[in-house]
Amino acid sequence: MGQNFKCFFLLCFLILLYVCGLLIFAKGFLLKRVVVERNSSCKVDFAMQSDMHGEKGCWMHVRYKKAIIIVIDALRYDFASYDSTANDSIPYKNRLTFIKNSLMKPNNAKLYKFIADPPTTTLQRLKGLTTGSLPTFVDAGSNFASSEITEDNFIDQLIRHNKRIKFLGDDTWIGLFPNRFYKQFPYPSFNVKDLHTVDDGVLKHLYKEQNKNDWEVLVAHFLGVDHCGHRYGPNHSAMRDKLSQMNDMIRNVTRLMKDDTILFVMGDHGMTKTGDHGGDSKDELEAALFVYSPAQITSQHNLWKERDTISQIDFVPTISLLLGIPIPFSNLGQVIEELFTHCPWWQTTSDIKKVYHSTKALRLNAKQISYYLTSYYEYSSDFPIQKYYELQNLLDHAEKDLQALVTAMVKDGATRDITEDLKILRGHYIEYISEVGKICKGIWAKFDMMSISIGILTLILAISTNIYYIRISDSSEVPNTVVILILYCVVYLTYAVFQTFFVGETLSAFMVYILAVVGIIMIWILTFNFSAPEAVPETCLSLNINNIFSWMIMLLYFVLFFSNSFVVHEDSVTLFYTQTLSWIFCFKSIQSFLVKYDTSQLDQKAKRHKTQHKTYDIMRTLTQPSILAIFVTLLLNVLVRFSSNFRACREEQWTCSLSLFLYPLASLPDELTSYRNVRYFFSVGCVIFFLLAIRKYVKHSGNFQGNSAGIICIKYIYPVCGVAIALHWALQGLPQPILDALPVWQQIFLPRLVYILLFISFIATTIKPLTIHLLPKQEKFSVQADGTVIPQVYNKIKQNFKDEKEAEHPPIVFGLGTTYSSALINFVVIFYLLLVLLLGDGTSPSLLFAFLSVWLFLEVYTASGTFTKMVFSGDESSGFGLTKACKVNNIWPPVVFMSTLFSTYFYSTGHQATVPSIKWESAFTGFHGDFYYNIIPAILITLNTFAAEVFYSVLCPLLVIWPLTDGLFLKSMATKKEEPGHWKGDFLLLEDEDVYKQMLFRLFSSMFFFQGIKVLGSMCAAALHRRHLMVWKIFAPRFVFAAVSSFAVFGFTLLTYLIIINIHHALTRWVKQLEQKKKK
Amino acid sequence: MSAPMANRLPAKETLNSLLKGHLIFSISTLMLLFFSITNENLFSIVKYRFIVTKLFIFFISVFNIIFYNFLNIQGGISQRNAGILSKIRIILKNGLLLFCSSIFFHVIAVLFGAPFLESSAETFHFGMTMSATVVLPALCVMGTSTGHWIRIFAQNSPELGAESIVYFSAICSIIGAWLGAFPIPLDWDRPWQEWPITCVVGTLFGYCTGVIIGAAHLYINYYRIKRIKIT
Repeated sequence: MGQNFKCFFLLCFLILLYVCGLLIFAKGFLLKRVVVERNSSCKVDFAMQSDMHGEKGCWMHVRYKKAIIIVIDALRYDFASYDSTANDSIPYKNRLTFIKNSLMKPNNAKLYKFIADPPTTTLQRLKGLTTGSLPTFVDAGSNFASSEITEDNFIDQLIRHNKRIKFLGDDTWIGLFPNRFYKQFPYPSFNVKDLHTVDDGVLKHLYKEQNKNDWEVLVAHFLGVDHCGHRYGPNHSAMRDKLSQMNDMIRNVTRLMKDDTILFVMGDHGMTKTGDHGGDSKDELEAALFVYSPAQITSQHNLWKERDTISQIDFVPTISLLLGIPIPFSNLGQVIEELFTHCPWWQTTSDIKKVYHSTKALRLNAKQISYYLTSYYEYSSDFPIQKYYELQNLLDHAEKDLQALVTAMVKDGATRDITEDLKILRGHYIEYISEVGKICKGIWAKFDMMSISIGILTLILAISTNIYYIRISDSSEVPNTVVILILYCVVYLTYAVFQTFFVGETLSAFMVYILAVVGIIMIWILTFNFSAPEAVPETCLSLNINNIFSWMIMLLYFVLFFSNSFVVHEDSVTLFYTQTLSWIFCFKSIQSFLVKYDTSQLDQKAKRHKTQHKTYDIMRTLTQPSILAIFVTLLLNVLVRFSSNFRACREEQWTCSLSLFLYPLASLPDELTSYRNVRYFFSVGCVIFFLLAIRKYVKHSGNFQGNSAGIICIKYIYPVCGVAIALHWALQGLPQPILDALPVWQQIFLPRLVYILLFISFIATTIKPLTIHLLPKQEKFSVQADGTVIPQVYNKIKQNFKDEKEAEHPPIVFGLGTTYSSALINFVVIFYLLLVLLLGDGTSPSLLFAFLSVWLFLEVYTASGTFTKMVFSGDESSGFGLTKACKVNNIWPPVVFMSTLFSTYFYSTGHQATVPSIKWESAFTGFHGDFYYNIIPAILITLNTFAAEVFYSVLCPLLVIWPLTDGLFLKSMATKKEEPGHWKGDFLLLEDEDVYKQMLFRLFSSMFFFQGIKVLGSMCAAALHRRHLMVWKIFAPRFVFAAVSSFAVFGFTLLTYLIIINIHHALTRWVKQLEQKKKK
Repeated sequence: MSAPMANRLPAKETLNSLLKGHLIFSISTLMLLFFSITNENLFSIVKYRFIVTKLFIFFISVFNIIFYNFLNIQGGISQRNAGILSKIRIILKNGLLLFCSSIFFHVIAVLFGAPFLESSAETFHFGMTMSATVVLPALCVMGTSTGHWIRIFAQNSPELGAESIVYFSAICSIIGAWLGAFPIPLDWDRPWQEWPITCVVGTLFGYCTGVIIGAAHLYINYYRIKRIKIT
């Protein structure tokens, strides 16, 4: 008991070390930006108030009194632009005919490519579109907890200038701008399956509200196109309907517009070919912006080349100046100067006016940016000082030139030269604005090298501690030096956390470095000086083929993270590693079978043999252990290779095409619709197969008797869950309109039923984990006569209580030989069903393949392991005691294999280490859209994304337990059947309690070590490549995924450990009870 | 004749012909390989991958068959005295085995991640290369005797001589093929990065290195053991 919790505590401490290292690193690596909370004011000295014409405005005159901003979420540029060559059958092409028609009047309408700054998630984009500043990586994570914008933005500026804003649509806006709107009609945005609620709601109010005269700015945010993309992808007929609906909406809105109103129709981001967004591919970044007004907005000229591509932040200064409000304080965008080349109040249409007017807008913009820069400079010293003064100089020169020009203009009147001069000036302003933008992007991509290095050092410290743990697991007692180590690490951790999170970059960081290095050296000295009390024949450092290859594969895995193309193709690479290791194990087991094979007399014998036995028995050859091992390995390979069909494609894998299993069942592409039923029944078949196999296994090992909680679960609850899951999938396969017509409770009933049932069985099996059945004595014979059940009759109790030899009838217990494994398998089933439900019908079969490949591997491993050697070498006298078996058993190679196997299955469950490939829709299994807390969707999405890791953590104790339970394979190989009394199965673990705990501790430490190496690799690669072109696309996401997946493994491994301890305690209690009963 | 020598050391002449033959063969193969990699037109493995691969396979097979069977090199067992009928049987059996092993390596390549149906011709060429470098020399030396195969490959105890060379060359070919897969995912956009080329080149390179290592091993150990025996 004490030992167990000591180990548990040690593992917790190790996790703390890892987590601290990761967080410190993440703090330095994932960038943040200082928010300057200042607002622009109306009266500034640089705004020329003198030459007002038209309506009075703040920095510039009011050009339009009213503005309508229509955000169509995920409106990609090619949705809006007209392509005469496009095939009419493409659902998303040429649907917005209104835009095309209105572009015939080039002075009234403009269409731009509207480039978003990554990350392309709606919240980030709205921040950019209202404040005009650039997002950083960290913001991306807060998409679900949309917080109020505190930076200056044009919404707040509008309100400050007494403009009334009406809002309709996506409720993300309400989270960003609570209590800002004069009137609001928000609709929930999270339910991506719902294509129509938001749009219909907006349309219901839009025209009515537009016709009223109580607004200056009207914002409408439509979500249908985005949700359609998420649900069906752009290539679906639903997209055609949606875009046509949007087209009608735009036409109707423009009909109701008056001359004093300007309309902006924009997409906040694009979408990939699969309809997702979040990353920074061309398709995701290129949104559309359409500007329209019944009155003339721009004028024809050929003074400069017009831009057709603008940045999204450029919208902010443009709308601010058009509506006559100040540009938000922290804006970095550049006004769209074409929209300032016409004023209805002008009498003439001279070029000078056009240039002058637009230059004025640019000047205001540049001035605002210079103000922002100055105050940002006060807050943070990031900005390179030399560059800052250079830019300031540029601006000052431009200012002087402008003054001179204005004076000249007043003196001499308009001449041609002035136009040219103005054009040069204009160029200066544009240069200033774009330079500042570029530099800001650069400094907000500035890394905190101190935190990065401390994080890496902390992780190395954690890994060293981990190695020390593996080392001390050779002895059954935890040495006392651990206490010193823990105290030292605690001191170091406090220091490091304090330094990184509170002190910042100072000289005292050296202290942390020194502490870390001393700690690492100390741990290594401890590790080398530690000597196990008993000699261990085979450790993870012994030179044999298993060990060499596992270390090599681990090293290769570590190195993999440093190459972008290997990270991109990590799915194939891990497959390659897994297959390699599986063959190594196969080879090892063949070697251990054939070690005794006598080849010396074979040459002579062979010929004689042949002449004697002409009949060649093919079955005998096929059931040879070595041939069998090859077949099992081949089957394992086939399973792993086949499950690569469930892989998702990442954008960089340009040759990859999305497989049948990755589409939602309801919206398979046309050429695959015929496979719909096949796929559905395949997935359901996999669930049924799994449940039947488990049932069969439990029955076979004799744990199917009696009425204990676990058995009832297997008998009744799990099949019910399976049926519910199958029905739920069938429901999801219905066409969207039919599904939407169902009441909400019907849509969520089935998954919730599964959740509740699984929860109940979890609790029940936690309270009563044992699935053994003690047979009352009088029934003994009737059951033995039953031929169908193969009870594992267990006589061990007799030996256990040797002093009670007089007992004639030893109690008969069913399934005692597989107590641990069947109790654990109960939990495995629970997690399997949960994960299958979350993965959905597409990718869930790969979880079955994962399970089967683990089973096959365990068979081969058991055979290859030293256990077999003990069986074959005939160490009968000791009865192949666990203590001995464990001492010679080396857990490291199988751990490496399992870790790489499940790294492969991370990809084979339809995931990739990129943000767009996260399956957000998994948050809706059993829930319908609106969440009060973000914790539930976060848990569901994590479980979906790291399904393989979670499953691995639950399965891993089988590595210790399985070799003892005598797999089918081992049985078929054993030349001589052991007498039943000898076989104790995993009940041995209770006998040799200390060794058992020691083995578990070693297993978990080894698992953590592999995870730690993976994380360290991704971390070092991210730090090393921090200036790499692909850092935000490849290395940073890889680091984040590695970190979160190791969190998942740590957490669920601890849970599994608790489960194991619980089983162990229950068994101890049960044996005690039996003992007491006996005594009576 | 068929029994292995008691002291498990090949005769001096056998040793010499083994060493010479293998060294000349492997160095010439290496040079050919180098030529076919660097050359861009004639005999380029990138351009004419099928023909060049087949030529290499042919070269290796012809060498092994001739070397072990006709030059009277003492291998494991030899069927020289057998009649014509049994000779045909042996040839057929070996041919079938070679074909099966090619298919086996083809399947293994697919399982390790080669495309399933596309470019199956390429994959099969890789399989043939593998069986020519791994299985064929072993067949030439040991025939189809299971006991020999087990002793050499599962128990890692080949006799010094032809067997040890076969042992090293087979292992090095497998390692070479395995290492050959690593340049494939890199984004260098070179024509030689396409699927079987690097692996075939790796196999051939590994085979030649293995033969050289085997020869060196044979040379060193032969004189070491001999010295021990003399003293």
